Amino acid sequence: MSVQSEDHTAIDVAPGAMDAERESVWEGVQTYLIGLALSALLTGAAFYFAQSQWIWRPSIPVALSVLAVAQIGVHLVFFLHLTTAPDNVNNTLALAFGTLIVALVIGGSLWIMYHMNMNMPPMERMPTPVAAVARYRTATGVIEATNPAPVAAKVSGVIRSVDCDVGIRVQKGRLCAMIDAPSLDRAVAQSEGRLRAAQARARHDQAALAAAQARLKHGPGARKHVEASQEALGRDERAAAAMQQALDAAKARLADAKIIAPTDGVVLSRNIKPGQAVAPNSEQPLFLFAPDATPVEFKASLPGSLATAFKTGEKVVFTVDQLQGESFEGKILSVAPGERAEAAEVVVTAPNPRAALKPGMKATLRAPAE
Amino acid sequence: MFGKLTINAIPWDQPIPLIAGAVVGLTLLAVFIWVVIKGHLPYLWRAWITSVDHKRIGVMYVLLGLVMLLRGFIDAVMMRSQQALAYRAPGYLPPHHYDQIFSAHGTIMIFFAAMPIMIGLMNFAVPLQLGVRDVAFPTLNSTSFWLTATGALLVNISLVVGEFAQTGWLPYPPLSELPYSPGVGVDYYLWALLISGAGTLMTGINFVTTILKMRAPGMRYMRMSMFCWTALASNLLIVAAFPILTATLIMLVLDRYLGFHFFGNEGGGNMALFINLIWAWGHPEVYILVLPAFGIFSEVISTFSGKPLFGYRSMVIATLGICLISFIVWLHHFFTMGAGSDVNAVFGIATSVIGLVTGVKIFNWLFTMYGGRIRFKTPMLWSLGFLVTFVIGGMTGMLLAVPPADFELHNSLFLVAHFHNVIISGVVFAGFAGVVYWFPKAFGFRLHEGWGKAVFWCTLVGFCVTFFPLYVAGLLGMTRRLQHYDVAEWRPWVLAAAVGVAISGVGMLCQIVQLVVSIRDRVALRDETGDPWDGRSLEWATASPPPAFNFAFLPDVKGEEPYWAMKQRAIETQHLAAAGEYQAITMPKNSATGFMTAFFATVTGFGLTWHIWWMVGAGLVLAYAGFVWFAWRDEDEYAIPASEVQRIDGERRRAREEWLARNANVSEAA
Amino acid sequence: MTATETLTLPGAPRVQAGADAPGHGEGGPASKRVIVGYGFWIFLLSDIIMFSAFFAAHAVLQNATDGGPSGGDLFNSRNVAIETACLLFSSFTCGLSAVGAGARRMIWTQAALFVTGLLGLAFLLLEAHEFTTMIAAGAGPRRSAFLSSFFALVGCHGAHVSVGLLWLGTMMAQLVIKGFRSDIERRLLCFNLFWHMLDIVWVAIFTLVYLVGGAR
Repeated sequence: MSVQSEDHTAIDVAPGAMDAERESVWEGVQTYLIGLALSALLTGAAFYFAQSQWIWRPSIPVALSVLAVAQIGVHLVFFLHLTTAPDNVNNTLALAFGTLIVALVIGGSLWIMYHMNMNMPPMERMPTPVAAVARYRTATGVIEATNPAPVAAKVSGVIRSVDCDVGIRVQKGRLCAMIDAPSLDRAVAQSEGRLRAAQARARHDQAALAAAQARLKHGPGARKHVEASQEALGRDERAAAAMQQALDAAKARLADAKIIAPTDGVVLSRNIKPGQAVAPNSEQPLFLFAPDATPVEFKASLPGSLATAFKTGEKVVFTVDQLQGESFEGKILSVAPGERAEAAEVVVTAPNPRAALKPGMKATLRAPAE
Repeated sequence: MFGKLTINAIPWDQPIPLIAGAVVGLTLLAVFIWVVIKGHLPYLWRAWITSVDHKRIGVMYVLLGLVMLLRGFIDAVMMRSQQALAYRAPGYLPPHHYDQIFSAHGTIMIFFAAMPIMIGLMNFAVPLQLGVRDVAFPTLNSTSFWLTATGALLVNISLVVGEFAQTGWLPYPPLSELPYSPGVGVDYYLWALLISGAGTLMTGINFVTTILKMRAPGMRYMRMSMFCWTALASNLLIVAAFPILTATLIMLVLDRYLGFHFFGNEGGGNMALFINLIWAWGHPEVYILVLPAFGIFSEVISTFSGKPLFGYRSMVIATLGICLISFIVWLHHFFTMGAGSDVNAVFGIATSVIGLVTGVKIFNWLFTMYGGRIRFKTPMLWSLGFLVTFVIGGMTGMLLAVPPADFELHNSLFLVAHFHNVIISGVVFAGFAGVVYWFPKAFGFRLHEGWGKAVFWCTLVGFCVTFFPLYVAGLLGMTRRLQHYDVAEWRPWVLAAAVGVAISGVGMLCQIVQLVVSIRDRVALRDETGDPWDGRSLEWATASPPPAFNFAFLPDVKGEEPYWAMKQRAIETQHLAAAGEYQAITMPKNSATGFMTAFFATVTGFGLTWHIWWMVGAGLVLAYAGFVWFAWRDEDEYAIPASEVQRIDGERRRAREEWLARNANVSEAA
Repeated sequence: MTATETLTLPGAPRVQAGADAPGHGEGGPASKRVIVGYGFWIFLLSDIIMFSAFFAAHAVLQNATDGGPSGGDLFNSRNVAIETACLLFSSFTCGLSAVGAGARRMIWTQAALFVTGLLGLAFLLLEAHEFTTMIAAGAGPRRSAFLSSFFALVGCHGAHVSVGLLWLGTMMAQLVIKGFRSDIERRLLCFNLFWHMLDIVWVAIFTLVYLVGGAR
C-alpha cells in the first residue's frame, strides 16, 4: 500500500518545529541559549568591526556581510531548527529557492542600474520648465526696458534718504528719495522773513492809516495824510502779497527736494545713495524707471544658420526663467549679423500689459533645430 | 467629507463611458433583482459566495475571467476601430480617452482575464488530479478569489466614477507620478492591483503547499500529471514574483501619496529603477500565465491522441528550467533603456535559452501525437491551433531577443503582435481548451461540439487576420499606442487588422451561442459516467460533477497515469475494484470571511483612491475585526456520514458498471 | 506532539500521516501541522522577496542624497545596537515560549510571549523616536531618494513588527480562552516562524543599512 523507497523513511517536519518527542524541555531551552549566545557574539563583532581602526577599511563591508550571513545561519539552525536531514528537505529547498530569487533581484538590479547610471551623460539642472519633446536650440537674452524714464535732480543738495530700489514696482507719484537742499531752505527762510517784514510794514501802515483817518476830523491837511497812508498800505500790502507769492514759490520749489516716480512702472536703476551730493544737469539720472505697459525687448544670439529661421515681424514664443510655467508672445524686431562671424543677433520685442516681465529677467527663445 | 470625490467624477460629458456604464449597471441591477425575486439568493450565498470548495471557486474564477475577457475585447475593438478611422483624421476617441482604453485593455486582459482563467482551471483540476479532497487552505482560497474580484470591480468602477490610468498597463514614471497624472486614474490602478495581487500571492502559497504536501498515497513527484507539474512551477513563480510587484507598486504609492522620491527626478530618484523592478516581476508573470497553458495542452494532447505524454521526464525538466530561467531574462523588456551591450548580451542569450527549453516541449507534444489515434474534438483543435501559431510567436520572440534587432522593433507593432501572438495562442487558446475539456466534469454535461468548432475557427482566423498584418506594420515602423497616424504605407495593414477583430468578434458571439445552446440541450449532452473523453488522469475517476469530497477513498497510486491503469484493469477484469469500508468524511465549513474581507478591501481601496480617509480607516478596522471574528470560530469542519458517502459513491459505481456492461466487447475506448 | 495525531484535515485517508508514512507527501496528505507550517514558511519566503525588492531599491539609491544628509550623518550606532539587542532577545524569549507551548505550560508560555511583546514594543518605540528625530531635523523621506528608500525599507520592517505585536496580543488572548488546542498551537508555530524571520531581516538591515551605510 504505502511505497517505501530508500531515503523516504522520515516523516516531514513542519518548519520551525522542534521534535518535542525526542528532546526534553531543557534541551529545547539549550538550543535557544546557544543560538542567543552565538548571535550576540556575531552582532557584537559586527558593531566592533564597523568602527575598528585595526581593519583595512575597504574590507569592512565584506566582513560585515560575512558576519550577517553567519548570524542568519545561526538563526535558521538554532531558532528555526532547520536541518538538511531528509525530513527537512522541502523546507530547506524552499529556503534555497527564496535565497536564489533574493540574490537575483538584488544582484541583478544592482548590476543593471549600475550600468545604466554609468551610461547616463553628465546632467546639469535644466532651467527650462517645459518638458522638451522636439529637438530645439535655445537662445537666451536679458530683458531690457524700452524708453526708460529718467529722473534727474532739479536742485543741488545731499541725498537725505532713499525709498526705492532696483526691481520694485512703483505707482506714479511715489516718493523715491529726499534731497537735503540748503539753498531751498534758505530761500524759504528768506521769503518767510521778507514776508514777515512786509506783513509787519503792512500792519504798521494800517495803524498809520487808522491814525490818519482818526485825525481827519481835525482839518483839511489830514486828508493828504490819509491818502498817503492808504498809498503806503496799498504798496506794502502788494509787497506782502508779492512776498507771499515768493514764499509760495520757494515752498513749491521745496518739492524739488522730493524725488517721485514719474509713472507706474518698475525701478530699473538707482544711482544715488544717502549722503551723496547731487546737482541738476549731472550726467547720470538719479533713477531710471521702466514704465508699465511699454513693450520690453531682449537680444538673443543664435548661430547664423538658425537665425535664418526667423523673419522680421514674425511672432515667437519665449519663456522666462523667473516665471516658470508661463510662456510669452513676442515679435521679431530685427535679425542682424552679430559681432562674431557665425552668430546673428535677434531682437525680440514683447508687450508687457501685466508688467510681469521685468528688466533683468532671463528670457529663452526656442528655435527649431536644423 | 468625501475627499476628492464630487458629482463631476461621473463623466456626464462623455457619452461612451456614460452609456456603457449605464447599460452595464442596469443589466447588473436587473439580474440581481431577478435573482432575489426568484429566491435564488440564499442558494447563491450558501453554495457559491461563501463556498470554500475548490471546484466552486474554480468555476467562479473562470466566470470572472471570461466576463472580463469580453470587456477587454470590447476595448480592443474600440482601439482597432479608432486606428482604422484615424488615418489623417482624429477618429472618434480623443487622445486622453484612447490612452485610458489601451491602459484598461492591458490591465484587464492580464490581471482580470488571463490570470483568473488559468488560476480557475488550476483550482478546479489540481486537487482532483492529485487525488485529494481540497487545497491546503480552503478559506484562504475563497479569500483569494474575492480579492481578485475586488480588483476587477475597482477597475470597472473607474469607468463611471472618475477615470482610469492613461499610462499604459505598466505605469512608468514620471508619467505615473503626481505632477503628470494628478487624477485618480493611476490610484485606481494601484489599489486594484495591490489588492488583487495579495489574493494571487495567497493562491501561490496555497497551491505550492497543496502540490508539495498533499497528494494521494503513492503519488510520487514523478507520478503527478503534467498539469500539476506546470501548476507547481507557475505557483512557485507567483510566490517569487508577486512580492516584487507589491513592493514596486507600494513605492509608487509612497511617491504619489506621501511625496517620497523613489522615481521622480527631484531628490535624486531614478525612473529606470521602476522599470527594472516592475519587469523583474513582469517577465515571470507571463510565464505564470503560460506554464499552466502548457500543462493544459499536455493533458489535452495526450488524451485526444490516445497516448501517454511523450518524454514525461524531459517535460518536467523543461518546465522547471523555464521556471528558473524566467528569472534571469527580464531586461529584454528594456534593452533600449541604456544598460549597455555587456548587460544586453547576457540577457539576450538567456532569453534565447528559454526559447530552447520551450522548443523541447513543442517537440514532446508533436511526438505525443505521432503514432496516436487523434480525435478532433474541440479541445484538440485548440491545441493544434496553438502548436502552429505559438511557434510563430515564439520565433518572433527569438528575433526580439537579439538586442540590435530589438533596438529597431522595441515598442513597435511588431512587439505588440509578438506578445499577443504568444499570449493568445498560448493562454487564451489553452483557456478555451481547458474550459471545454473540464466543462462536463464541472457541470455534468458537455458543451455543444458544433458551436465549439465554430468558435475555434472564427477565433483562429480572426486572430491571424488581426495580428499578422500588425507584424508587417511594425516592420514598416508603426509605433504602438498611436491614437492617429498619417503614414499611407501603414493604412492597409491597420484596416486588415480591423477586419480581423470583427472576425474575432463573431467568434465571441459564437461562444455565447455555444453556452446558451449547450444549456438548452444539456440533457442530450449529459456526461453519464464522468469520463466523457476517455481521460487518463484522476479527475476522470470521479462523477460529473464530483461530490464535495471528490473521492470516497483517496486513490492508491502505483504508477504514472493512475486512472488509465485503473480503467484498463477494470476493462480487463470486467468489474470495478472492490469498494472498501466507507468512512465518514470531514470537510471544511463554508465561510463568509473571503467575501467580507474583499468587501472591506473594496471600500478601503475606493477610499484610498479618492482620499476619503475616514472610509479607509473604517474599511481597515472592519476588515481586521471580521478576520478576528473568523479566527475565533470553534467549528471549522463538518462531517459527512459514512452512509451518505456510500450512497453518493454508489451512484457513481452504478454508472460505471453500466458503461462497462455496454462496452463489454470493446477493448479500446471509443 | 503531533507525531501520532490522527488527521483532522478534510477527508480521512486510509493512511495515517504520521509515524508510518513516508515523507515528502508520498504517504498521502501530510498532517495539518506540517501543511500549515509549510504554507506559512512559503509565505515568509515571499515576504523576504518583498523585502529584497526594497533592499534593491535602497542599494540602487544609496548615493542619491541630493546634497542632503547621508547615512554617516544620520545614523547613531548606539541606538541601533540597543534596537538589535531588543529584537534578538525577543527572538530568544519567543523561542522559550515555543518550548513552553511544547511542554503545555501555560504560565511559562504566556510570560515568555509577554516579554517578547515588551521587547518588541521597546524596539518599535526606539525606531519611532529615531524616525521622528530625523524628520524634525529635515532628514525625512521627502528630503532625498536615499532617505525615501531608507524610510520605506526600515519602515516596512517596523510595520511588520507592529502587525506581529497585534498578532501576539490576539494569540495571548486566544491562548487564555481556548487553551492549547491544536489549531491554536499551529498558529503559535506560525507566529514563531514570523518573529524569527523578522529578526533575520533585521540582521540584514542593521548590517547593510546602518553599519555599511553609516560609513559613507
